Amino acid sequence: MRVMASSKDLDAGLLRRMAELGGLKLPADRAEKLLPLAKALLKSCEKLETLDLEAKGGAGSLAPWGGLE
Amino acid sequence: MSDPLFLSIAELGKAYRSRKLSPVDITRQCLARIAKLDRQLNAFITVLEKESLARAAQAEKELARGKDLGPLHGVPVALKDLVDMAGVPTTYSSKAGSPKTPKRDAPLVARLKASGAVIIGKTNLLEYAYGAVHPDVGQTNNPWDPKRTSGGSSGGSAAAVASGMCYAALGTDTGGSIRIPAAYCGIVGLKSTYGTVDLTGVQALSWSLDHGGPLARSCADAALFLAAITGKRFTAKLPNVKGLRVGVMKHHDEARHMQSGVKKAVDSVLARLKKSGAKLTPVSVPDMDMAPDALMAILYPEASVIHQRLIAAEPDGFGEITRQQIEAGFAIPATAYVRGQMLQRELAMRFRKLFDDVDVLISPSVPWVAPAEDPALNDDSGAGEMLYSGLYNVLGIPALALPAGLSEGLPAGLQIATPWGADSLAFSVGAAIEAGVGLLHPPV
Repeated sequence: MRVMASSKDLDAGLLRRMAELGGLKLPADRAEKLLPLAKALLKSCEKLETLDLEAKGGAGSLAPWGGLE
Repeated sequence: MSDPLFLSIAELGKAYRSRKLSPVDITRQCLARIAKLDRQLNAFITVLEKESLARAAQAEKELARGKDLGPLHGVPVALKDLVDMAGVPTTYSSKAGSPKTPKRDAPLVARLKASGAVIIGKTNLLEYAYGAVHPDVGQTNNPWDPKRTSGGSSGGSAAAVASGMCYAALGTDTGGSIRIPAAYCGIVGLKSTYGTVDLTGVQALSWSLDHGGPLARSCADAALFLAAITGKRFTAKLPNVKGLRVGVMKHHDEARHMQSGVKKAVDSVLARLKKSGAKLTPVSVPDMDMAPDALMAILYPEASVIHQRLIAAEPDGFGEITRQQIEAGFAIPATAYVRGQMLQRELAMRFRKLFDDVDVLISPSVPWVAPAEDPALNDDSGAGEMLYSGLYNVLGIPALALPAGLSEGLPAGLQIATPWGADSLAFSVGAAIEAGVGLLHPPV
């Protein structure tokens, strides 16, 4: 099941709604200008969706960079 | 004596202490070199002429009366213009939100001052370190060929060091911003282990991926600068590479981007290491080629949150590309950001296991030599430029760029990565490689 907007479906209107949900009111002309970059970024996000990574819960031991494993 | 502006920091310090050279004379020579070359290179945003001469005079007096603050005492250095230095404007190479004149030094600047270093100025960068030149500020041109870029985002620091305007400089690195300009300018640059350099008072781009570190002309100089800004000890001792386990990084996409001259230069370094007894093994880690996707999913939203107020208040102050990047980050789904973090953790675990079998990882720094302009962050050439560097921002491990040789008259860069906290190992293996390649001097 897809839970994110697809880069293929993305148009200026959807991009404006997504940006507004993220906290930025985007005028229509800016959304048009942003569309190619936003599509490229969503493609990157879609690649990450294909990964089958285990979601680990709880307070694990320290990861190498100091965060939680 | 060779050109004093190209001495190592240790050689300069020795000459100061034997009074063959003086901090004031050397600072004057650096200032004269900036005046001569910077119209062409555009490396400096602010030159601190009076202040640096006063600090140099103070260092000279202190050394004369035996007050020795260490290896950087009286040595001219520079700061990327996104770090707070009391009383000096910070411009971020932008027209948005600038200039800001801080009242206090960032801790790393305070440490540099306490080490006796002479801060000669603040250097040009890609706008807010975010991948693009502000058109009103302009790119830093390359000392090897001023028709080409010095790279970014710490291009001003790299060009200043490479061209003999100063002996070392501060850089920051979120996807390669120390190592890419180091490679293009033929010098050394270290992205230290995540968290090693205190970035308080340094403009953030992405708190999960930002790293600080030195740009210098040799591994030994870079180690001294890193020690000065952190207060920790780092060394660049020539190791015996016999038995060193070298993982040679094999990225899925590298053949598509790689220039043959860069490959040749890196291969010849690897051949020398092998001849000296290092054990070379080709390595790759599952999903490591998706690290750039994780990097983008983390970088964009963090940068947008960091710049939220400014993009609302002064959108026209940003260059168009930077503005688009900040705006686009607001539309990244939270689920993608979380997946980026999940991959970050998973890759860290996998690389921790890999470091059971290898001591260091070697790859090119960038698959090509300096281009005319910095590629856009999110197109194919941007992905190629960060192919080797971005992975190590995601992992947080130390990664050192240094020259592998020349390709068609331009520097080709090599990268050494080591486990978390093993920054000195990177410097030391770098010093062994440097001894074979030699230091590069640009024609300007």
